[in-house]
Amino acid sequence: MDELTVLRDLGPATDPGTASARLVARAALDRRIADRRSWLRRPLAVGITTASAAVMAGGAFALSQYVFVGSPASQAVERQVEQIDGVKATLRSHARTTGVLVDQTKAAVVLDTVAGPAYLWVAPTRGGGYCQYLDLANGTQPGGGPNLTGGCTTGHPFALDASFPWTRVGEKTVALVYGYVQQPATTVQIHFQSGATKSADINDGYFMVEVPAGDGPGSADQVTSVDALTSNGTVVATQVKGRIAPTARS
Amino acid sequence: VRHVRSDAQVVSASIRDQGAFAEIFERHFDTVYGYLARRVGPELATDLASDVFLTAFERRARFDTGRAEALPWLYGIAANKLRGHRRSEERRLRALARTPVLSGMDAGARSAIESSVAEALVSLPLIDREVLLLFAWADLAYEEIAEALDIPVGTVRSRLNRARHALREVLAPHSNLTISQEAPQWTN
Repeated sequence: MDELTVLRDLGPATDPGTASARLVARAALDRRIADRRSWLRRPLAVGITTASAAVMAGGAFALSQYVFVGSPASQAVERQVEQIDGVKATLRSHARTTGVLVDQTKAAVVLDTVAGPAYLWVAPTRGGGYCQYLDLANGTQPGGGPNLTGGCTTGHPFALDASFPWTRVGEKTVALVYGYVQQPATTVQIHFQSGATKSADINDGYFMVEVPAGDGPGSADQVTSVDALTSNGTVVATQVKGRIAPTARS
Repeated sequence: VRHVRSDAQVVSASIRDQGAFAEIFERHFDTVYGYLARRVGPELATDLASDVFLTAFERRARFDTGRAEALPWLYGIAANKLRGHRRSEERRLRALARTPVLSGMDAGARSAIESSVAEALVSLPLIDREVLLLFAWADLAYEEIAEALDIPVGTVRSRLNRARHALREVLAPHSNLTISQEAPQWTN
């Protein structure tokens, strides 16, 4: 028996946890793809609509004044949530829709960013999961409809599920940290390389906060991690930027 | 005739259609995860394997489409991820050597051999271990290892020879043990 035979026999060649690892990893990849896809398209959409931007921006701002936390989504937003779910269902890996309950879509967080209002639309799914869609009121599609980015999970696999997108809207660059956190967390804390922190409240498990774009101190490029904390300050989950979201303990 | 796209074609397509990259995941996740799980255990492997594919997705524009297969490229990314987890790997290797085996061999003798091999692996320079395990566990050819680790093929050969020699040395004291590779013989 030579050294390679011994080596090849050392330890199991396959791991029984492959299926669960695959689910978690695939969810992370799908979300990254969804983020990149929509956020890459958004500046193009804004560029195409330059001629009518002033009119549409005015319209969007007017509409935004009627969107509060808990507001039900407009029909245009619902249509797009449904459309995204339908498109996903045509991908080989999905095979079916996530079962998003479109008519329950509501605004979980509303922010006034440097590029205008930003909404985090959320909806439950039939399978007990949740969907998150980010919407910049001024980053509309060429036709004037909303330009959502986001996706759904099956169940609640993550203890803390944060995203760190940024995009340009006209002359402005907006960077956000948004996501979902499970109980018993009541707040999230964003950490920067400098040691500084920034807190965000949680509404029904969802949060969204704007961070300055760029790479200066306290900016989006300097974000290192997000902690989920309970009301007494205990950290219950940490997500390092660029790493997979921490899974929930069953 | 059904035409299957090469990895290079899929990665190229994913530059414009990001969703196409999911096919690379579907083709190679189990292989990459299996290799990582063997090296650092399933828990850490889940994180690392996910990281490998997120990193690959972000760097897909840099993939050399002159190479049809993406697996060596993915193993190269995995090797970089593993560098920060040397201690976890060493713990894993020692644990593997202690794991009872069910085979036709004498369990005691086999355990002693595997412990020696695991210790030899732990003491190898990281790059030598990387070359050896890509060869023995990932079944990569010399050229593919060179591609994965971005080193010349000649270096792969010399490192592999050195690593195998180190393993042979630790196996030498066990050479007087009678170890059968045959299946056990059962009698009524």
